[in-house]
Amino acid sequence: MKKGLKALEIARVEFGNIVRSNKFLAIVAIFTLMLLSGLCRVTEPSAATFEVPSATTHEVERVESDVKLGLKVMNAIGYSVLMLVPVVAVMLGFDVISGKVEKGIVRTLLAQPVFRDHIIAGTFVAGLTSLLVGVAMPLALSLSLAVLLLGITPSLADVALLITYLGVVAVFALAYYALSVFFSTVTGNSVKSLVAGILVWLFSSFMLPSLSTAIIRLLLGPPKFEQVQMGQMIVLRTDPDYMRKFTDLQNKILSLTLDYHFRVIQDQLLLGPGIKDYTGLLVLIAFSLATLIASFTVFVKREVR
Amino acid sequence: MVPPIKTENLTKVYKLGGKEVRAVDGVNLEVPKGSIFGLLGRNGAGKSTLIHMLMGTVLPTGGRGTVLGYDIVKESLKIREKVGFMPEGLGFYEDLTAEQNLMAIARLIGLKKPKESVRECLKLVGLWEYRQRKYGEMSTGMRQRLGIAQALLKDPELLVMDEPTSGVDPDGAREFRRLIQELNKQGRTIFISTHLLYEIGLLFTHIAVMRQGKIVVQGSVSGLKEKLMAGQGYVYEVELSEPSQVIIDRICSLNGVKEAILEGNKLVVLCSKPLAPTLLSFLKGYGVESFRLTKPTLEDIFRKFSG
Repeated sequence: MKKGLKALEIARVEFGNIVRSNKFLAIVAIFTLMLLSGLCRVTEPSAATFEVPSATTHEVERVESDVKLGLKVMNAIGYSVLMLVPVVAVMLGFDVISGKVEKGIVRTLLAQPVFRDHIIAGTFVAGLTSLLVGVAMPLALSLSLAVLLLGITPSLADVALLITYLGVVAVFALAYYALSVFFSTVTGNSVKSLVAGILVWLFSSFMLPSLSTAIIRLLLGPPKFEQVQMGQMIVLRTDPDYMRKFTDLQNKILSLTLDYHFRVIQDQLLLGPGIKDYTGLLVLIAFSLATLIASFTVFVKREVR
Repeated sequence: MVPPIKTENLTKVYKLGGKEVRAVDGVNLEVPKGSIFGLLGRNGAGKSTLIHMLMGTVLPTGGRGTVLGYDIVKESLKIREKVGFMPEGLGFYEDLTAEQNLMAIARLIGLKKPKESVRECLKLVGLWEYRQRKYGEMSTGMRQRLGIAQALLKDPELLVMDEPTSGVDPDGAREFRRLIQELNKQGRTIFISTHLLYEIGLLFTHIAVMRQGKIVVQGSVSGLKEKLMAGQGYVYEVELSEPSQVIIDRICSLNGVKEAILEGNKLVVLCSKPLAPTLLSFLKGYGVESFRLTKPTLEDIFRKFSG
């Protein structure tokens, strides 16, 4: 059997094992349920509906259906995707290598005429395929249901937007998955790897955004205000120059996280006119490739002890 | 004839915390064809590292070796194509059945008739009835048998097993011994590393004892027992119907007798050379009921050399 075929054979078996596992089924089920529950929000009247003064029922319906599809998707599942995709990716990746080492599967495979690079290449292929299935399937299902619930016939542009969004989410998931695989390879211990993956997610999603404001406040000092006359009233408004510096610094700090780059692309895609700045996407792809290559190198160089 | 396994000065040095650890230190090993060879040694003696070097999964730091005539560094893939290898602590995919796991390995090896080979091996190890059972739901004994089955898929002339009976219950160990004897009768050479002598020690025709990365003794079991007796002395146990304390002084005056002890009607004589005929004729008048030479066991050899 040729080298590439051996890796593919390992990938085939590995994928079969992953999708049969209770862990995978549980992850997909929970992710789907969370997305579906997020979808329930689309049936609520959106803010845009109330912005039309003295609208008749007919007008309200018209305005609601005119709301951009991307905004509806964003309102429905944008936050869930940002929060859950990293968790799904970490859960799928944390024991990809360490689990195989701990369970003795690597030893069994190495007892056959295969090299370590066959094993890790096969593992990557199987893992990425299962990740794609685990993330894309529930997302595609939820989006289709969303379209049905909204009662709209998606245009070609809408379909293109949803497919692009799926692709972007897959890249975001890949970045977290690659990181999780890296922890799994380096630590060789599933518990440590899981803890490391979850810590990175918690730090990126919750801790750093809060920490960043504290850091910026330390750097820039307390916010500066200016007085603005509004009719009869004088109101205090934060100094625009201070706010600009604050936002710039916050973006710089948050750009250290994967979540930030995904959010920038997601916002461009769903709320803006489409992706104009590909930096975030390139960062996510480059990060994924770098961590996968690092995992590959570490695994191939390591010997059985 | 090329021996199935041959090494010359094989060495493996690991660096642990800046210190050099010689896990395997200049090992010269030769495994005869058709033997059941036991690689013995305490935990950490270097047995597993040696085996992994032989199978090409660990690169040696020095020396050379061949397995079935193939170089362990340059032709490791060929070795793993031909040799049935059961590493210590091996495992399979937990959510796949016994049959699915073996089929995957059969395809990986590139067997021409994978289904037939898998069926044959499952039957040979007694797992055919349990072929649809998931690996995650199997007992330790069944898992061990599946491990042997994967090693047999290649129909190998050499089987290498690292600690195959650890964690296996007495019934499982008995079944394992039967299987090994059967495989050996088919002409296969079997190389087993273990520190659990009481389970499989009786099977070995040849052994090597490892200590701190070195082979301290190797050879056929019968030859090593002879060697041990020659070094430590020949012990004869005699049961007498008419024992007498007078006998002790007289026996000790015989050329070659080091010591004699009488306990009840049992006389133990320690000699520096074989003295059976002399002792028998000497003891004629004391009513000899039984007379036997106490041979050292494999455990005696292991204890003497493993440190």
